[in-house]
Parts: sequence; structure tokens; C-alpha cells
Amino acid sequence: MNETTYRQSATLFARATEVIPGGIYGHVSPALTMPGASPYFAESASGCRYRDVDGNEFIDFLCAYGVNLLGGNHPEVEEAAARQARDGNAFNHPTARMVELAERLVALVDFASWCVFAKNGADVTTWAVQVAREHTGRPKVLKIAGAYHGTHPWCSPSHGGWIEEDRTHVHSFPWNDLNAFHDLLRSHRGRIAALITTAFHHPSFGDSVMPAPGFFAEIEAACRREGIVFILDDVRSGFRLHHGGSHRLLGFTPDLTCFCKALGNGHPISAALGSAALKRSAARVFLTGSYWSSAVPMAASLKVLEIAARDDVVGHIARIGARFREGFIARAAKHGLPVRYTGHDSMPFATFAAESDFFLSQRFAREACARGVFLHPHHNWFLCGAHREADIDEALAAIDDALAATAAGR
Amino acid sequence: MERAELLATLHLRAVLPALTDLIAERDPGACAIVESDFALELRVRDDLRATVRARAGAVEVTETPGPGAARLQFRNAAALNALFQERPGVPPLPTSGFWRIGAIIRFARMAKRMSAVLQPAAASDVPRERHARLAFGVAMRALPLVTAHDEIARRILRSTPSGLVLLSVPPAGFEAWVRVTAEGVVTGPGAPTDPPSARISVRDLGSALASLAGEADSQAEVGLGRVVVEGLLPLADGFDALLQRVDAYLGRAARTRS
Repeated sequence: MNETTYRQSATLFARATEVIPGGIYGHVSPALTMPGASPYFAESASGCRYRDVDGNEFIDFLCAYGVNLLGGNHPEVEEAAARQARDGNAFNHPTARMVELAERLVALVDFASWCVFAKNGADVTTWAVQVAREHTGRPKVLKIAGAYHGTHPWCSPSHGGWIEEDRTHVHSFPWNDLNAFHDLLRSHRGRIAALITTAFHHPSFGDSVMPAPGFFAEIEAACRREGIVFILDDVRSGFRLHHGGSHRLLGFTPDLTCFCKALGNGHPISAALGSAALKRSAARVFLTGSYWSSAVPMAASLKVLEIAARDDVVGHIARIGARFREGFIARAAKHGLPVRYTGHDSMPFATFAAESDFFLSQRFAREACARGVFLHPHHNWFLCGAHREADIDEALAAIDDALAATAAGR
Repeated sequence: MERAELLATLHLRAVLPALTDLIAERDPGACAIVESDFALELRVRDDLRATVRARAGAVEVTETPGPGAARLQFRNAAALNALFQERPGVPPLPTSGFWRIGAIIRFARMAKRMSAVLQPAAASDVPRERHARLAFGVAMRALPLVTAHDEIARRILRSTPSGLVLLSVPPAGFEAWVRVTAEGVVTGPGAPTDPPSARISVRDLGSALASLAGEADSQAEVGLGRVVVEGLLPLADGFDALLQRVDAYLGRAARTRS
């Protein structure tokens, strides 16, 4: 077991609380992870490992919440970014990188005929909803209960910062519940602009759930029939389930899809791609931000897509994820801690079968962290292109010890 | 329910019962006042009233008047709120048993002492632990009422998972449970009999007091280790958001704007 201390993290955090609300806010807040038992501040990353400001090293199964598809600080991606940076990042105009990246993405995503860029997932999910409203002239949006689409008022998971009117036209139904979906269709027929969903259900503080057979087929058919714009929020799973977008693995065709996370391997970029029928409507919905045409993230993204295809990263993380799943489940069973191991092998999540309130998960995650393996207790995990079999085996050995300690402390 | 009405309800059902806690705490300032028995009803309407009864050195607060209570009749909810917030307002009329002026005087002295404990001045003689215990007690009594009648609290409840919260403040010796369901919130003193789904432990008295004063940054407190939250975090988060709605009515900032 590592001698993990977090003194520098604690010192920095104390300083942070003086000048930053919450000290650290949002999804990376210590309050949402393992306060006092995990790093608060990172220092460096290489591949599937990272170091915190105290010099502790971790095998990483969060990958910057899914951002590092190829692993942290990938040399080829950083070289491409640095090369662009030498020429410049922000100009009065976009660079040729924007056109090149749009062409590359449109070629990758089968139903898409156009592409736009932003910085974060929420930028494009919210814009996609605006495009759907512009296209249909309708107000209503259907979404899955508990699904995360960003921090904007229509969808923020927070209790603060929004008013009832922000969500007057947003209606939710449970994942895989087609009866509830049809009830909403009947209630709001002719008024629904968009249906937005993730590729599979991966809520924080909950098990992941794959789509039931026929779920997406029926959603897609209903959207076509009713003139509803079908939006795929592929922000978290994009380029992890399938190199052409998660809908390809799951066998459906949306009208709009949103990417972020894996697209830049750490460089800030998101994208929305749409069908030809939506192109004119998309052109009418103003979309911009101070840095949204920056060239460096686009150069990085071009390199990410090239490497992901060259190295079959989707296939690799599925294979290495299966190895991790098998080892994890076997070790948990050995220690009398059966788990619910859910989601896709490339971005799985596990909770303990005996509980629904996360006490055991939190204890286990702390024990794993103390042994140099970073697993989030409430958020799905990520495999990346840099995880090798040896890394998985080393992590599983540490996890074995962590499970033993968790079982002993029950 | 309008704000003034809900606030008056909170004053009668959540704040006033702190008199009982104050005596149970053997607060010397309060105990001296209840050496003589008295009973006083504070009334706005029949459905908005409470009676304070001191008997044999103990105090009970009930929703219905008993025999022999003097009555203070308030013109409206706002007038009652002004009394509790120590602000100028239309004074109540003693409409029944007004010859028992001693009851009114003793209640006024006791209320002043309670206010000193719940809203202590910087140089107060009130032990900080006692202030924390009583103030958290008020918050726990207020929570179900605010959740039932405040629109924003209802919204928070809708996005909060059901479950049982154990709230403890070890340095103040305070413990309470909160059961959250889709229908509302129920609270009670001490540890729950069922296992909680979330545990919130305020390890630092200063953090507890800052929280009561509406000055705490919850996420920062957790990161600093002054507050430990375990279990179903969305439940604890919802509970924290609901407590902030209580603060919106009974907190220091609310007292100056109501």
C-alpha cells in the first residue's frame, strides 16, 4: 500500500476556499468524490497514470472524466497541438483546421452532412435543442429522467440557479420505459421539438443501464412519425463505443449528435453534427464563444481521430475493459462482495449488490485510492488507449487488497 | 401559503418550542423566569396560535390553549412576525386574562432570553454549544413546514431521492434524523432506529455556527474535512438545499428583510 498523503492538496484547497466558491466546484469538487482520502489537485499525467501535487501516483480509471481517450498527455496529440500553437491559436478568423476537422467528422458520422464546434458538452446539447425548436417551431423537449446533459438551466442537476419556468417545456421519462415515453407523446402531440438521450443510461449515483432491445428502434420510429428531432448526447460515450458514433453500435440513426470528452484528448473542444434536413435551421441559431474557433484544440482533435482509427482504440478499450470486468467481478466475489457491474466495458461502473446508498462503494474507492488506483465511487469509470494488460493486472492486484479491506471493515 | 403566514407558522411551531429546549438545557437565565407558573396564548387566528405554559419549572408549548391562559391577540401574521424578529410592528392586544399581566412579563423576559440564545451577540454569555443545539433544533422543526409550504423547497424535494439522513454535530452534542420522501419531510431528535441512507457529521463547532448563520460554504466545508458526508450524497445535498430554504425564512438575512 502506498504511503498516500494529501498535504499539498489540503494546503492548496485551503487557499482555494478563500478565493473560489466551494474551493473546487462542479463535478471535480472533492465533496463529490472522496473528501480527505483522494487528491484534490493534479500535477502531471502520462498514459493511464497521473501524479497529484503530493507526488502520489495513480492508475487512472476516470481519465479526466472521460476526456483522455488515448491517455493523459499523449505525445503525438501534444506535438500536433504544439505545432499549431507555434503558428497561433486565436485569430480574427478560424483556421483551415476547422474545415479539415468538420470534413473529417462528417466523413466519420454516417448520417451527418454538417458540423459545428464549441468547447463543452453543454454548449452543444443546449444548442442542439435550440436547433430542434427552430426547425420544428415547437417548444417541448423530452429527456430521460436522471440523465446529465450539462449545467444549463433547462438540465442542470443542481438545485440552484434555475427557476421553474426554465423547465416548463422539459419533460422526463425513465430510461427504457416506452410506455412512459408514449404517454408523453400523447400528452404533448404536435408540441414536441426534440427528444434528447445518451447512448446508454450512465447517471451519476446510479448503475448504468444499456438500452433494452427495441428501445431505440421505437424511439426513432416515433420521432420520424411525429416530426420530432432526435438528438443523441454522445458527449461521454462518443468515440468509445464506436469510431463513427455510439448510434452505430446500438443500431439507430439520430438527427443530431453531440460529441465532446474524447474528441480533444484534453484539449477543449466539442462538436454537434446533424442531418442535411437540419442544416438551414442550424444556420439560423446563433452559435459562438470567445474561443470556439481556436485552432489548437482542432489540430489536437484531428490527431486524436487519426490515432483512434489507426490504433483501433475502440476495439482496444473494449478488450481491455473486458479483462478488467472479469478480474474485478471475480475478485469481488472472492471477498464476498458481489457487485453490479454495469455499462459498456469501455466505460463501466460497479456498485455493491448489497447496497444502494454507496457507503460500501465509498469505502472501497478510498481503499483503492490508498493503493494507487483511482476509481470514482459515484461516476462511471473509463478505460483508455494507454491501459495495457500489465496496467490492468497491476490495478486488479491493488483492487484485490482494497476489496479485502472493504470486506474486513463491513 | 404566503410568506408572512408561513413565517408566523414557523415562529409558533418551530421557534417557540425552543423555550422547552431552553429549560431542558437548564439555561440559568431562562430557569429563573419560570420559577412561577404562567400560561400565555399567542393568537392570530384559531388555526394560527400557540400556548406557552410554564408549570413546576418546566415549559410546554402546545397548539391549542388550555384553561387559564392569558391571550395576546395579534392583528395579523406580520404583527406576530415583528414580535419574533424584534422589529417594530402593531403591538398585540391582551384580550383575555389581561389582568394576569405577570404572565405577559415573564413570557417577554423568556422570549428575550430565547432570542439571546438563538441569535447570540458577539459578546454573549450563551455557550456556543447551547446555541448550536437549540438553533439546529429549531431548524429541524422548521424543515417539514418549509418543505410543505415553500415553493422552492417543494421543487428541491422533487429532485431529492427518498431516504433517511442522520445529522450529527458532535461538538455540540446534537443529533437528529430526517426522513425524506416524495410526500415531504419528517424529522426527529436523536439517532434513527433504521439505518440511515446518508450521514452528515459536522465535526467543527465553528462550521456548525457558520452554517446556522447562513455563512457556510458547504462544498468547501466538506473538502476541508470539517463536515463529513457519507452515503447517498444527492439525499444529503437535497437536505442541505432544504435547510437553506429554512434559512431563507429564519436566518439572519431574512430577519432584516422580512
